Amino acid sequence: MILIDKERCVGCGHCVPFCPVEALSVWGVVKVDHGLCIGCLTCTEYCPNKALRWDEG
Amino acid sequence: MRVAVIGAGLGGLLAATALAGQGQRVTVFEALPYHGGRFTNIEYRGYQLSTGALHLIPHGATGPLGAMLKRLGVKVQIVRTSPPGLFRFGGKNYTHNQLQDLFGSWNKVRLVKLTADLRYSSGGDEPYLEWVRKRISHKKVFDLANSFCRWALSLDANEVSSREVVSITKNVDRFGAPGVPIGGCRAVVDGLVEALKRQGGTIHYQTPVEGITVEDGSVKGVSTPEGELEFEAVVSNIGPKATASLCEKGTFTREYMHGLSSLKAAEGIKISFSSDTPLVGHTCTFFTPEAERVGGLVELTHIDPSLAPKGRHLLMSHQKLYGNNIEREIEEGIEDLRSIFPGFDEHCEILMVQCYRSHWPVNRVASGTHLGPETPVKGLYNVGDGIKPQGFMETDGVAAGVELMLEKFNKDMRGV
Ligand SMILES: Cc1cc2nc3c(=O)[nH]c(=O)nc-3n(C[C@H](O)[C@H](O)[C@H](O)COP(=O)(O)OP(=O)(O)OC[C@H]3O[C@@H](n4cnc5c(N)ncnc54)[C@H](O)[C@@H]3O)c2cc1C
Repeated sequence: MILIDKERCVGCGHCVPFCPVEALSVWGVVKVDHGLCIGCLTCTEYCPNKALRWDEG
Repeated sequence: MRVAVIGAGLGGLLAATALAGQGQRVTVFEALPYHGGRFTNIEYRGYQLSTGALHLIPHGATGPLGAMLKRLGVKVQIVRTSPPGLFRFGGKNYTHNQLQDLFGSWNKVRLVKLTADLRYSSGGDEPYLEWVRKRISHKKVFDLANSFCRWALSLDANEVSSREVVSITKNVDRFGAPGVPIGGCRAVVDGLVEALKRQGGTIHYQTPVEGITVEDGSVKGVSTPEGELEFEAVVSNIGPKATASLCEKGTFTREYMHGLSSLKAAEGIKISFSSDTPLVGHTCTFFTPEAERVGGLVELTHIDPSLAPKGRHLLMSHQKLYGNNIEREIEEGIEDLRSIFPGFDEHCEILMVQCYRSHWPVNRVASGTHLGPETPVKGLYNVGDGIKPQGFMETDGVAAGVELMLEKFNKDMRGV
């Protein structure tokens, strides 16, 4: 599951357009639709603030 | 000389390209998979949104950035916005000259005096709002001052010195109004990367610098996931605080570190939205002095229709972020847009709301504080939006700061 670190996410939304399945949205902070997320990890690479990470749980 | 540049943001790319043009062997390290930092496009639903900037260069093709791009051989067309600005009062748009119609004859005289003082005095330490109040005490004038400062600096008019705003005004007179790079921010940074590569420079993407090695007060190299690498000079584009934190503890004096920790960033919210009909009718800065939150906005597609799908317009509004309740600030920003444009709900679609704060702000050092590019470490320099000389805003400030770095570098490292 992709987890968002609320301390690190500033809500700049850079990750949003890079998600191939449109599972991300931004409004103050980034939110993940876990029903859509395929776990490709692209967003983790495009975040300038290292606020997204994969958690096995 | 082997030079490392940390960060491929606008500041890093300008510095890298200029140094490579002098014959230095330049390697740029960028943590992300793309270059441009907060100054490039992100494509979303057919629109060219951006990672930060509103696709505007403060002084168009003729300011410090435009001049530097030209000198570096970067081919990008920058089209001046026109009229220079519009101001929204009571549902009507006013040009700069028409603004005086809003005031009675006595206040008109005061307004002329205020405008003259903005051009010919030098200002001082006192907050701009206080400086204005001494010359004319009128709510509309305070609203104008706040709208300009929120739009251009992400600050309230009482958070910036009159000296800074006077210097900015003089630069607007000298260098001209904003311009839009055709193709958006990305056209600028892609052009720079091309020029850099022509000069033999290289960029390593997804390669964060994890440390800066300093020995006997001089820079020795950087450490990256690729290993320790030796360099005779390091130019950092990641902000003065982050730069210092990459050096071993004790590299800098307590005073220097204290100075850095007192630097304040400027934070903001950008709302990108589209419309099926022109709302402003020109690509120019559209100041919104009566709005609660939004300082101004720009309808970009009259100058560059390629930023939106055919038949649509792309607009971006900007507001200062106060940070107590971000969701509410966003809602209030959107409420502003609704009241500025009565047809908002019918014609417009919000594309993305982006916040810039904390370690990823609008300006790493708020306008009015001026730090030089040099550091106490020989061969280590800062560039980027932490290093903006007095009176230079945003990316023109970044470019003017890079020029200062080049001067220092040439003097210290090359003796010229
Ligand atoms: C909402 C908003 C609106 C704006 N509007 C405008 C505008 O209309 N006009 C204008 O002129 N300016 C505008 N600006 C300001 C402009 O975007 C910035 O001044 C400019 O982009 C700053 O560039 P920089 O090179 O200083 O930093 P950045 O763009 O932040 O570049 C820093 C780079 O360093 C990289 N990096 C960080 N740490 C490391 C590391 N350890 N190792 C390697 N790389 C690293 C980052 O990934 C990034 O690419 C706006 C900014 C925002 C946020």
